[in-house]
Amino acid sequence: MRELVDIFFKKESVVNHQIESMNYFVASKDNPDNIMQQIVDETKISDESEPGIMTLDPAKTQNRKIEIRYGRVREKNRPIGPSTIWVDRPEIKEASGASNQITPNEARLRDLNYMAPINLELRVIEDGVEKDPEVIKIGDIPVMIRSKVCTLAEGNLDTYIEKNNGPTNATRKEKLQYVGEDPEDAGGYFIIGGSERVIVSLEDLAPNKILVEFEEKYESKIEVAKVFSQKGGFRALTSIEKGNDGIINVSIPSVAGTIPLVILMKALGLEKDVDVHNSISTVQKMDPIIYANIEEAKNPKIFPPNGITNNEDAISYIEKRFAAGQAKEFREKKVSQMLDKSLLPHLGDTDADRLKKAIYLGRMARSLLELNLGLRKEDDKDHLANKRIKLAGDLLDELFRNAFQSVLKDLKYQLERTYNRKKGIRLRPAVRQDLLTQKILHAMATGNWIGGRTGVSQLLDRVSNVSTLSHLRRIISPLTRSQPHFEARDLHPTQWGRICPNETPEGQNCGLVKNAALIINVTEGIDPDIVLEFLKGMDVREVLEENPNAGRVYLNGDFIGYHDDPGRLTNQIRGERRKGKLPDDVNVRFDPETREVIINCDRGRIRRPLLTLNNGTTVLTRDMLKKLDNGEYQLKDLVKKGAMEWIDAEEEENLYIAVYGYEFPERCPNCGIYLYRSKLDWINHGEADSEKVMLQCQECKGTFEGKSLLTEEHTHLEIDPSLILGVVASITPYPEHNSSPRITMAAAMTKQSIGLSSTNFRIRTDTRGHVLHYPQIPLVKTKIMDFIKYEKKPAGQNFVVAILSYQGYNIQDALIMNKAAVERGLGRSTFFRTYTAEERRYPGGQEDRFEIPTHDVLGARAEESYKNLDENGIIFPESYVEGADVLVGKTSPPRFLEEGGDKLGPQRRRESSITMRPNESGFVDNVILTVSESNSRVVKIKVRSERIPELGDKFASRHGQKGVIGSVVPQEDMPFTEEGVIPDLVINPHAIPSRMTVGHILEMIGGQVSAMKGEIIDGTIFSGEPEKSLRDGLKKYGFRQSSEESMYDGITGRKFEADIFTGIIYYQKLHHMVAGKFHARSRGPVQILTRQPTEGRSRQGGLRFGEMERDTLIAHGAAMVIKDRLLDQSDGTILYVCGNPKCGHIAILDRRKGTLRCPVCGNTGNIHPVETSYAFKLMRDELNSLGVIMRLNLGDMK
Amino acid sequence: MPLKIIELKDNFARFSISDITPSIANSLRRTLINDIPKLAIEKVTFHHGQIRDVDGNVYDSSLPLFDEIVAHRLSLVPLISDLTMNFRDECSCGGRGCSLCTMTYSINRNGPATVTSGDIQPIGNPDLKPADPDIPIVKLGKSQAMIVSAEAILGRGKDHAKWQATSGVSYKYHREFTVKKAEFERWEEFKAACPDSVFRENDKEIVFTDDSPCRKLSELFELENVKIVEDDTRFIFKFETDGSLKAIDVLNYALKRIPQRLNVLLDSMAAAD
Repeated sequence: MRELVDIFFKKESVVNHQIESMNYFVASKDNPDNIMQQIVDETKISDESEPGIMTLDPAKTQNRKIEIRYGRVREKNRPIGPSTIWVDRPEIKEASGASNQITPNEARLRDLNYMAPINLELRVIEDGVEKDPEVIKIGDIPVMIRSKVCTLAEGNLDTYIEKNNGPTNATRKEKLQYVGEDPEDAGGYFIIGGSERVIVSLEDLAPNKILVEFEEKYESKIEVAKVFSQKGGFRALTSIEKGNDGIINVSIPSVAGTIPLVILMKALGLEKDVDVHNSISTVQKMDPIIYANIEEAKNPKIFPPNGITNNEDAISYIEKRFAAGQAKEFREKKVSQMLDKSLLPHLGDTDADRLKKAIYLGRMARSLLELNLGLRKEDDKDHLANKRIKLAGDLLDELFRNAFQSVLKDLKYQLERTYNRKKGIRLRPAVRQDLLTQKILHAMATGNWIGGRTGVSQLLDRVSNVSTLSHLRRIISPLTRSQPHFEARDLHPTQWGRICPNETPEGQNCGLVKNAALIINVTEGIDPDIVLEFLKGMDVREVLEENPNAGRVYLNGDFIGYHDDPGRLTNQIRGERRKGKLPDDVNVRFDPETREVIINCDRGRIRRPLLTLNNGTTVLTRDMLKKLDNGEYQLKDLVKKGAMEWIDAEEEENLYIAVYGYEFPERCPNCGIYLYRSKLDWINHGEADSEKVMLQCQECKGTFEGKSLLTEEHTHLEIDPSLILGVVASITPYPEHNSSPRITMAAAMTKQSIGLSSTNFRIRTDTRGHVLHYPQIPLVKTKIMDFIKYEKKPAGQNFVVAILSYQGYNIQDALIMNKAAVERGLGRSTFFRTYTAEERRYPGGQEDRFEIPTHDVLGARAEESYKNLDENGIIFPESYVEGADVLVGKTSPPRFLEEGGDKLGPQRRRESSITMRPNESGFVDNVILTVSESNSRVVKIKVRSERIPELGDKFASRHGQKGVIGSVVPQEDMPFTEEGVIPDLVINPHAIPSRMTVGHILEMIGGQVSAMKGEIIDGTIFSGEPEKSLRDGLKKYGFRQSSEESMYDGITGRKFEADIFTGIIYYQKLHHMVAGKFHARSRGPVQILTRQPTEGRSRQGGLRFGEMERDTLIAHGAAMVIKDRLLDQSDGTILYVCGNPKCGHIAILDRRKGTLRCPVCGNTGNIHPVETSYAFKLMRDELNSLGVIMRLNLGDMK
Repeated sequence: MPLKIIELKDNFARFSISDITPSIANSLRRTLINDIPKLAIEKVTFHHGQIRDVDGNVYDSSLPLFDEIVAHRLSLVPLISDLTMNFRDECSCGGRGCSLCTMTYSINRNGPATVTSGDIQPIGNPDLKPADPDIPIVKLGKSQAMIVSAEAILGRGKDHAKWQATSGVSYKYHREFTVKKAEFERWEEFKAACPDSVFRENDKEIVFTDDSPCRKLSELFELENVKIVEDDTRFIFKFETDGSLKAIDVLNYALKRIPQRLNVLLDSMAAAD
C-alpha cells in the first residue's frame, strides 16, 4: 500500500505531531476547547475558590463583594460561553513603542523571541453588578514555527505579505522565500533569543492506570499495585502493597509511612465490613486474605483501645498517627489534606469524593490479590499501552498552568493592595505581563521545566536536514541514565511501527532516547463523557455486586460498569468507530483472560495506522485511493469509512495483523523482469467478489495473478512494513541485509553528515554550520527519501569505491582517497561561524561604540589590526581574516567610573573588539547590521572557510562503516581498472566480514548498475530491487556478476593477483574534521589561579601529561623528565623561604630594592630560594587562611 | 617493441605495445596522467561592489556560490592549450607573470543567466578558449552580475588535477580466453555477440580476446571450462583527453617526456664530476 503512504506525505509533514499538538494547545477562537482555554477555566486562585473566578478579599476591599471572572461561563459545571483567552500573531514591541508582526527569520536574525501576545477577557462583577468585559494582554507565549498562530501559516502569511507590501500574487513557495524562509523547512520548533529550540517529546508512565507488579523488598517478593494519579498539573503516586503477613498497606504521597488498607477505606466512609469485602473480592480464594485484613483492623492489641471498626475510629487513628498532639483544627485539616488532596487526586478533591476513592482502593486491592493468586499477570511497565507521550503542547500546558496561576495570584494581590473605593478597581495596570512571559521564557531558554526536569527544550540540531527532522521527532524517557534499567532500554514488541527500532544512541542513553517511527499519531484525547454516553447505549451496566460472568468495562483506567458479553461489546464499539459514529480517538481492547474491556480515549497514546480487513480483503478499494489522490477524500475519510484505523498498543493486542497481502512470482510473467514490492501494484484490493489477487507490474503494466496471504482470521493488514523504521534509519538502503547494530550506528552517523541543512543557509546566522559544495542524490535511494524530501537537501556524494588494502595506509578503518578526486571537488565543504557584537547600554547612559579604537583607548591594538575595518569599525565582506584579527572594532565605557579620577585626567574607554578565534581563518561571508529589541545596534559577522578533505577527516557510508582518511594518494599511484576507472576511495576488506554489512556490498553493486543504467535504484527496506536483479544488471553492462574487476597496481604497474570488488556507494562527510580539532603548543597561556597551562584547543591549552604518562616515566626511572614535565613546563615557581627554623614563612622579594625580607620574623639574611610547584604554594596559603600554619624547615641535601 | 595505434580520435586514443615490461607500460601511463602540460586558470580576481550595465541597471556582485567555489570551477574548465608557452617558473619574466607564460581571460555577465565556460573570453590569443563552451559555472539570479578576470598558466597533473590533460588512462594485459568447443557448447553465442573478439579459431577450440571491448565477454571470467591466459608483455592502452590537447599530441609529448625525465639523471651525473 505504497500509494497510501505517498498520499499521506503529500498532505502531512514528518513533524506533524508537534505542530498538531501545539495547534490543539494554543488559544484561538476557532477551537474553543483548546488546552489554554481549559486551563483558564480550571484555574483556581486558591484551593477553596471556584474555578475560573477570582473573589477579592472583602476585608481588603472595604466589604464590597468583587468577583473577577476569567473562565468561560459555566452551566451544569461545563463551560459553554465564548472564549475568554486567545493568542494573536507573533509580534515584537520595538523600543519606539510600536508593535510589529514578525517573521521567524526576523526573530532569528535579530536575536528576538518569536512570541505572540495572549489576551484574556476579564469580567468584573461588583456587588452583583457586571461591568463591561475588559480584554487585557497578560503576557506572551512562544510560537511554534508553522503552527496556526505562526506568521508562516497558510492564511497568516498572505495577510502579512499584504500588510508589508510584498508580492501578493506569488506562489506560497515564493512567499516563504520572500520572508527569508526555507520553503521545505518543517517547523515544529520555537525561536527564543534568536536560537531555535525544540521541546523534545517526553515518554511517561500512563497516569490513572493501576499497574500491578512484584517488587523485591525486604529480601522477599511482594505484590505492589501502583497508580500515578494525575489531575490538571498535579501528579501523585499512590501505591498499595501486600506484606508477607498478608496485610495490605497503602502509601499516600507526601505522607510518611503506610496506612492499613481497611482502616483507610473506613476513614474514607466505607464503614461496613461487607462493603469492604465486596469492593475487593471477586473469587472466593481472596476471602481469607480480606478477612485477615478486616480482623487485623479490629484487633485492639494492635490498634488500641478498641480496634478500628467505624469511620470515627479510623479518622482518629489517622489523626493520631499523622498529626499527634496538634489542635483539633489542624488535625482535621491534615486528614482532609491527606484524604482529599494527596490521595488519588484524579477522583476529585472534596470529601464528597471519598467513597469513590474507597471503592477505587478496593479495585487496586483486587488487582493486587489477583496477582497474588495468579489470576492476573504482572503488568508490563514497558508496554506502550502503559505509556503516554507528552508533546510540546502538553509540556507547555504544565508551564502555562503554573505561570497563569501566578499571574492571577499576583493580580489578586495587586488589586487588593491598591483598592480604592472612589476609583474602583483598575485591572490593566494591575496585570503584570512580564511575570507570565518571563516564567515561560526562562523555562524555554534553559530547558529547566517546572518539577525540576532539565533538558526539556533543546537547541535544534541543524547539522543536516535529517538530523533536524530526527530531533523534532525525538522521544526521551525520564528514567535516569545512571541506573541500568535494562528492561526499559530493551526493544519492546509494541514499539513496532511506533518507535524506530534502530535509531537510538549507543552508550548511556541507549534505549532511553528514542525516535518516532515514520507515521505515527499521538492522540489528543476527547472528553470521556462522550464515550460514556455511548457506552450506556450499549448495555454497560453500573452494578455494584460482582458478576463472574459479566466482563468489567474500563474507560481511561476507570471502572465504569459491567457488560454481559464483553467480546460482543468490543466488536460493537469497533463497529461504531468504523462507521464514523464514535470518534476515532477511541481504542478498545478485550482481554479474554480477565474478561475485561479496556477503552481508552485519553491523550498521548502513540498510534499507528493499519488497514482493516473484511472477509480476507481490504476495506480499502482502488476507488478510495483514486479519490484520495485527486483530493476528493482526506485521510480522515478513510478512517471514517473504516478502511484505515489508528491503533494504539492496547488495541493491537487483540489484532491479527498480516504483514503482506500477497505473494508474487520472482519474475514478471509478461516482461520477465525481476519483481519486487516497489515495482508491484495490487489492483483489485477491496473487491469482495474477486477471489484472486491481481497484480500489475509497473514496468510493463501487464497484470497477472498473485497468491493472497490474507485469511479470514486476519483482522488487519500492515500499510507497508517499511514504516517500522524512523526517519533517519530509513535513509540506509537495504538495511534488512545488515546486522542490526550497524543500522543503529549508521543512523547516528547520518545525523552527523554535512550536506545542505537548509536552503536559506546563506542568510541564516547559526553560530556554526557546514555546507557541502556538491551534494548529490544517492544512486541507491529509498522510498522514504521522497517523503522527507531528502533529494532537495542531500548530505553526501556517490564515491567510486574499491575494496582492497593499500600499503597499510587503510588498516583499522582508515580510508584512502584519490588526490585528483579531492582536487576536483570531492567532499569539499564550507564551515561557517557567526560572530556577534552588540552596542550594549550600561546604567548611567554609557554605551559601547562600534568604531576603530584610537590610541588613547585602553588596550588598543596596533593600527595594523584594524586595517580591514570600515570607518564604522565593521569589517568589509570578502576580506580574509585569520588568527586573532579584529572583526568589529568596539570600545566600552570605563569599568569603574568613580575610581582613579584624580590621577590621569578623564577616564579612558576600554577596547573590547570582537576578534576571530585563534587557529581559525576564512573569508568574511556576510555582515548583518540590525537592531536588537532594546534598540541597540547588533552586528553579526559570518566567516566562512573552505574545508578540503585532508588526512584525518571522517567519512561514513550509510551502513555504519565509518573511517578517517589515512592517506590522500596521487591518482597515478592508485589502483586502476582496465577501463581506466580510478577509485575515489579505497576501503579495507577487513571492514566487511565481522560487521556483516551486506547492505554495504549490495549498495555498491546497486550504485554500479545505477550509474550504467542511468536510473536510480530502489533500495527501500523489504521492498527494494533484489540482489539477483542487480547482479543481472551487472552482467548486462559488461561487468562480472561478482562485481569484481581486474585491477592494476598504480605504483608497480602489475596486475593484482586477486580481482578487486568495486562499486559506487554513497558516502557522507561527517562534521568531525581535522581543521576544527588539530592542536599543538610549545608555550602558551597559563591559568591565573594555579599557573598551570590552560586546557583545551580554544584556549591554546597544553596537552595533558597525565597519570599514565607519568607512570611510564617512573617505569623508566626518568626522574629528570618527570621534573621537566610536571614542574618546569608546568607551574614551577621559586619561593623565598625564611631560613629561621622557628619561622619558616615565605619571604618577600622587594624587586625595587633587590632585598629579601621575611614579613613575619623580620629576618633579612637567612632566606633561601626553593623551587616548588605553584599548587603547593596555593595549598600553603589556603591552609594559612584556615589558621593552620605550615612552616618550611630548610636543610642541606644529604 | 612495436607501438600500434588501434583507434585514434581527436580526444581519444587506443594503442597496443608489445614486448615491454609492466614497469615501462606504467611509466608511460603515469606520464600521460601527471606529466602533460596544460593550461588552467590559476588566479581569479573578482570585482566586488555594485555593477552597472549600459542601461544604468544596478547589479549586485554577490554570487549564489562562494567566490572560492566559482574560482575552483573556473580552474577545472579545460582550456585549449598552447605548449609553446613557457612555464611560469621557467619564464624569462622570472615568475612574475608575462604574456609568454600567462594567458588572461575575463567574464562579464549580467543576471538572470547561467554563466557557462563559453562566457570565459580569452584576452590575447583567441584560440586558447575553453574546449567546451557549455560547462555551467554559476547561475546568476535577478540583479546579480559577475565581472571576473582570470589568469591561466601552464602546469602538470602532478601539481593539481586541473592541469591533468587526460582522463581514463589505462592499460591492460593482452588476455586470451581459450575454450574447447566440445566442453563448452555456448561458444557460438559468444562468437555471435563479439565477432571482433575472436582471436583464433580451429575445429577444436576457439580463443577470444578482450583487447577491444565487448560486454558479453565479462561472462567468460565466471564460467568453468574457460582457460584464461594473460600476457604481461603485451599491453593495450587507452586514454582520453579533456579537449585541451589532441590525443596524438599528448601521446607524442609523453613518449618524448620519458627519456627527457631520465636525462635528469644523466645531467646530474655529469654535474657531479
